[in-house]
Amino acid sequence: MSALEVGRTEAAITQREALAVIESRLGRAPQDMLEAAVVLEAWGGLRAEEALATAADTMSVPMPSAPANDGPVEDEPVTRTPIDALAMLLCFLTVVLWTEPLQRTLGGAGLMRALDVAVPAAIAFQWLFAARFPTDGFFRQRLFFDRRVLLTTALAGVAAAAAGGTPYLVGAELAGVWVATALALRARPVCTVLLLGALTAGLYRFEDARPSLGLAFAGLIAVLASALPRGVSSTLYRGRPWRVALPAGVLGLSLAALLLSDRSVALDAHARALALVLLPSSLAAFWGGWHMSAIWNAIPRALRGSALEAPVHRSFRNPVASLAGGALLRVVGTVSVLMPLAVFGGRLIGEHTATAATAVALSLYAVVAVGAALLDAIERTRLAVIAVGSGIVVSVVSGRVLDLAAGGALLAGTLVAAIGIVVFASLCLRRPALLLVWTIG
Amino acid sequence: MLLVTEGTYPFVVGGVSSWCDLLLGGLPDVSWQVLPIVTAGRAKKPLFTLPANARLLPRLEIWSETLPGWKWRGLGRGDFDTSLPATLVKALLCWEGSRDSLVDALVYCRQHPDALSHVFRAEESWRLFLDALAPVVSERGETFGPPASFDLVDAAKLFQTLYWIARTAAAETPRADVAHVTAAGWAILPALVDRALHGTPILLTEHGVYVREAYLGAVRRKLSPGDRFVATRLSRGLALAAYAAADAVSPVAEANARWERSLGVSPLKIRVIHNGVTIGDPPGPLPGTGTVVSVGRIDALKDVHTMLRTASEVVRRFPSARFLHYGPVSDGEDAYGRSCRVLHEQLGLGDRFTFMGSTSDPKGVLRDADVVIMTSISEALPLSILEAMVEGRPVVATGVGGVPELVNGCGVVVPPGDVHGLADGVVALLRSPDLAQRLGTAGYEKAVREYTQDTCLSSYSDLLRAVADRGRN
Repeated sequence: MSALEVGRTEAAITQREALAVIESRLGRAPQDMLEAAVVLEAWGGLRAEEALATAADTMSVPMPSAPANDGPVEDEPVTRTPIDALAMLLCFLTVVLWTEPLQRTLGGAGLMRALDVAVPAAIAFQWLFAARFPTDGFFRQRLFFDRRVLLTTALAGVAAAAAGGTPYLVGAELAGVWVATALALRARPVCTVLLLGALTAGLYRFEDARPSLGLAFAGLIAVLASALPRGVSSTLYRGRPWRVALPAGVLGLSLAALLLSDRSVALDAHARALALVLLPSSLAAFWGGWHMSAIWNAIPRALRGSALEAPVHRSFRNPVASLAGGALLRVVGTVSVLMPLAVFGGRLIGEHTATAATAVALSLYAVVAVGAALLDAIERTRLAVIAVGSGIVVSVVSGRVLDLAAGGALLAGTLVAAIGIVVFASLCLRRPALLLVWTIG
Repeated sequence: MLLVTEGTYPFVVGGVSSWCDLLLGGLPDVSWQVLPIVTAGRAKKPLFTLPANARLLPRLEIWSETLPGWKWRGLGRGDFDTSLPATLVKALLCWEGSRDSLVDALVYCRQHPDALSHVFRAEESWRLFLDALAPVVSERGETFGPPASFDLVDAAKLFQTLYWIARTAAAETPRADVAHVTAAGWAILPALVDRALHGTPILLTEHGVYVREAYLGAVRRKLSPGDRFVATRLSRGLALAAYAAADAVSPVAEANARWERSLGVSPLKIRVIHNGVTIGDPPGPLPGTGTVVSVGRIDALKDVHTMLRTASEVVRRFPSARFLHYGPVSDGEDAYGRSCRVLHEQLGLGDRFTFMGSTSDPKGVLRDADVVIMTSISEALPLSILEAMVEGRPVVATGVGGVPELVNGCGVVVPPGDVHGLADGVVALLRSPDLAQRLGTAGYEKAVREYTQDTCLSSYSDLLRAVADRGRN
């Protein structure tokens, strides 16, 4: 019998018994004497001093090592869903379908003013809400927390627009319908699609578009309200903070401003053609963005097993950079195939406004959108806003100073924004460990 | 007095929260300010009503995205100490960390709250942090070794944790005569800064031993080597800093005091103050229905699996026995709760063992018991046992923490996890009502003698006054 006859219970415990208790509980060598001591106290029945003394002795005895890694990093579910793509497609479809009845109500200039309000507001709020309410299974609960703020904002926005005149009211209603569609689709997809169908019928049936839009907006709000839980007690389900969401909204607004910065690519009576060429651009951005959403699995996978001194901190040879490259390829591939088809389709319906410059500009716009989403995801939203803002300035200035063909200013602007975004994103992608660290909040 | 709580009062129901409630209400002459440190996302509304002499400060959320407001700092670069994360990692995770440098770093955090997010986003900070971390994770001694693996993912997670340590230290606190800290963990951070800046003395009350519970949690959660290393070393670093800085330490049980002495706390600083309970009328006779009651959260630390196996064994030998368990599933222990249900099913316990859920009347449910059982693998001085004693109910419990000193003479104590020992104890008491009654009465008398609220409160009152005087002098 060893000298280690300690213990409060009737039975003494030897060093061998202590080792057996530790090994059976841990299945490996203890990390330190404190770990051995708590095991001996909790499962060996020793008092604190005895457990600590015995633990210190057992540390000198070799035991099996722990496995170096407890298993592969498991993929987390992708947070973006096909419903986001459906929302986007529906928005484009509505632009194509509603241009004619809206123009009937507002006239060409009125429609342009309405879209000048609707497009930036819709894009800004969609970015804001995408940041605030991630699609993670708790979407309804998160929405519940903000129900009053959302309703107040919607009503205040419509009231403010109404004061500006009919085109602005219609613009606000359009923005409301598009934003609410994106949210309601996640909660009640069938109801939402049916409502949009009814709205389209209403727009064609009645001379004045405003009542139909207003009713559809109210209907979508009701659909959303019906999908909310009755009560959520835990702040666990609160949306991501406004501090994070608002910059995303600003980024969305600046992306919309970039789109509208070239007045030669007007969102007027030719909105259908623009919607057609925006469709490939947006699909490309969505596919690229979806691919990039795997980044939060790719970063740990890239770093797992890397020694602290490993020289991987500044290199493009990492899975995160590969992921970004894959996203870029998807964007380029999508626009290369679909953009010519969209331009051709526009001509088939008698719209000849989509020039080659516009098509290339909108292809670059997809690159900007994906890069902006990446920078926003790693909380470098300010960099994205700087890049897009530079593009806006270039587009506006070149449109006024230079004598460019239609879409030329937008091409210059998106080119500058794309270069800025790619440079900023590249600087970040070279250091995957820092990407992880930067998400500290 | 500034009362700093960690994950407990007033947002969570449990032993520590009940103790806080008793302390605040029981010392009406003391003006309390309660600073709760909570994990983001937990319950928002206080579950306790604070007495008139207490004020709840804004809660300090860790791992929260709700950060303090941004302030304009002018056009200058500001005072960015990019060595802060490196200093923190060396001070907190080294086996022999420097307490002085830790306090200096925490004071910097309080004095430069707006610089912290910039410091922790700077590439230079990350580089210096990695340089400092490498020797820490390869450190080896006679009683400790390096983790089996520690990679850049572990490093990034640690870096983020240190950011929240810095944020916690940066939180503004009101001036107080004493900082009464209720856990030797994150709760010590604001108090360490207050002590350094204003000389505010610290009274540390440990219900469970923080570092012990952190190690126990790491063992049972089967963490990866890196996560385990960070969780345990960090809690050890915080606890040792708390022990070093505390002017007085008041564990609730002698068992805790033994751990604290072993971890280097001077015996002169330690004063054990037992929890106290309200003593009512002498208890009535046992119901004689073969009812065995347990009160506690459904949590791996409570080892409910052992309780279920014990119930199965008891029912086999004493078929009319019926077990009633009162208590909710702990936050984050849903999987364990499900495993208990599965085991209940596998053992075929049916209505012989019922999970009754939460109760608002623990004393009432204890009165229905012929025997009270507790199977925890970690406890301090459990209130549920104290309340069983006040109700004159005999106890069968595992001998962990302060349980043996509590149950000695009024129940049966067996080693943790000993199903047969527990079953023997329960069956013996169910079969011998006279013995059970005698032990119950002995428990009541012991509670009246040693565990009254008045004794508990007057001890704290004296100690708080003594610590405050020490601070003034």
